[in-house]
Amino acid sequence: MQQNHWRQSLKGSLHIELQGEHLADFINKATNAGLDLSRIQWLEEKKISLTLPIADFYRLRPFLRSTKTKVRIRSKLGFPFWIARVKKRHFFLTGFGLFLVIIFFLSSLVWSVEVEGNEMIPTGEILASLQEEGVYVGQMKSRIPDTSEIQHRLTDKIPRLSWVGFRIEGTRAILTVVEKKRVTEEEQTGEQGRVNLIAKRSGLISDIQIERGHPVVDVNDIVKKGQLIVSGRYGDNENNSGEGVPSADKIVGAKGKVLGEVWYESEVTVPMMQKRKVYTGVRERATHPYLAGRVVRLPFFSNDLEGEVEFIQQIRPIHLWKWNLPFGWVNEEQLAMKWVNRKLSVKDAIQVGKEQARAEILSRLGEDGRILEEKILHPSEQNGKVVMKIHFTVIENIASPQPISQGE
Amino acid sequence: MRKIGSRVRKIASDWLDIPQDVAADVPRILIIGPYRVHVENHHGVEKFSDGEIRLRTARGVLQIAGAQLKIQAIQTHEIWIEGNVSEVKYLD
Repeated sequence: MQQNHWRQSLKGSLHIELQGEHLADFINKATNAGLDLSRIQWLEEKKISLTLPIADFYRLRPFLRSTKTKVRIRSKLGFPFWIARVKKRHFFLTGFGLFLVIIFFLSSLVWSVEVEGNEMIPTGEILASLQEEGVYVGQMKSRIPDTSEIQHRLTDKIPRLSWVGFRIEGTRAILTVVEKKRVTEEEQTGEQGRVNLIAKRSGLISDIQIERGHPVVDVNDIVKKGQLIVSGRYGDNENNSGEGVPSADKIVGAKGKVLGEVWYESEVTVPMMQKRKVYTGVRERATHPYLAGRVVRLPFFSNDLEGEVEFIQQIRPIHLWKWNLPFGWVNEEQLAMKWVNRKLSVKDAIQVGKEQARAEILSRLGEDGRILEEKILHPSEQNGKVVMKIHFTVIENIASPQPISQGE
Repeated sequence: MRKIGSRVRKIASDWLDIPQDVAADVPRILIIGPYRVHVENHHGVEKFSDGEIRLRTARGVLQIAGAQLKIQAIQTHEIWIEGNVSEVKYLD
């Protein structure tokens, strides 16, 4: 008996008004004939309204005539009538359809081609190569070849590119390029080459490796700070004037490494009481929500550890496609810790001091440096600290460039 | 003649333990709260108005009184009435 409303609206139904003397009679006759009457409502004396399917409306006529009932349609419900109404506005509908088609068509075209990352190679040249590959303004996106193929072919076509990245964002085609770094003129001969090498520290020369220039000292010579080691002048050899055929003004510059033995002394103080942080092993894991960079701690669900605690937080934002949403979860780990005092023996303290000093020296020496020898001089214990001097013999590059003044 | 027939059918159903609404042609009425009445085995509508609906049945005329009554759906032997129902009774 329950009416299937959606089916009724799919087939279409009529809401009609009936007026006559023998309405009850009419209802009986129509019902007996199998008409599907529903929502029969009494409006006033001799006037009712009801709903029935369209098909049944045409079968109504004999009963109307026999009971002398007048009928009037109040409203038309359902899908078929909606279609009919839409058909009347077919012009609007075509326009809407056309709009959708145009939008779809236009958004499947490439509307701009952009090149980014190029410095030396003109954009026009890259665009021209792209056009040959079939990427240009007005091209259908579907007809653009595979991304990796474009990248491969472009790197072949323009040898000066070391990397090419191609992507399409909506209606834009974007080409990101990385150019090959070319060796600059300056690096080849350049102004930087017009230098002498001088000693930046006093020491004993242990090795000389010269790429360009003319050494004025020898291995095992002792040089003072600021002394000339390698001359950048061509034929600059005052002692031996017999060779001095080329002019003294010709400057080739000096380049190279001069390794020298240098001495360093450092004073180190190591406290014998060392305070260290130790984890007790008690830990607590919890997950909290966070909102806009703020952790929401639910007071009853999180049980904080007592005492000194270290927190390790790991934020897990919720991703939506490619955006990070401003809320998510925080994995939090609490590690209980305590401070432990450790007393070092003098021997251990000296060892610690040595390590410290060595690390410090090595960081100062640069890539060519190494430690030859280290000596600990008079360690002594004062007020719970060990004070010592450490003497290092190291090898380092003592050459430092100094521009040759042109006025001479 | 018809009265005798129905009485025979009633006796038969009592004796054979068949539900009466199946055996006899009497109406079966279902009332849900004060707002819905289903009647099966009716023989047509006699009177229909806002406050009163009279149905013909084998037993006689069934009167359903109330306010804002309407026939939600009607078929040959079944009717579904909605509204504020105050009274359902047989008129003799």
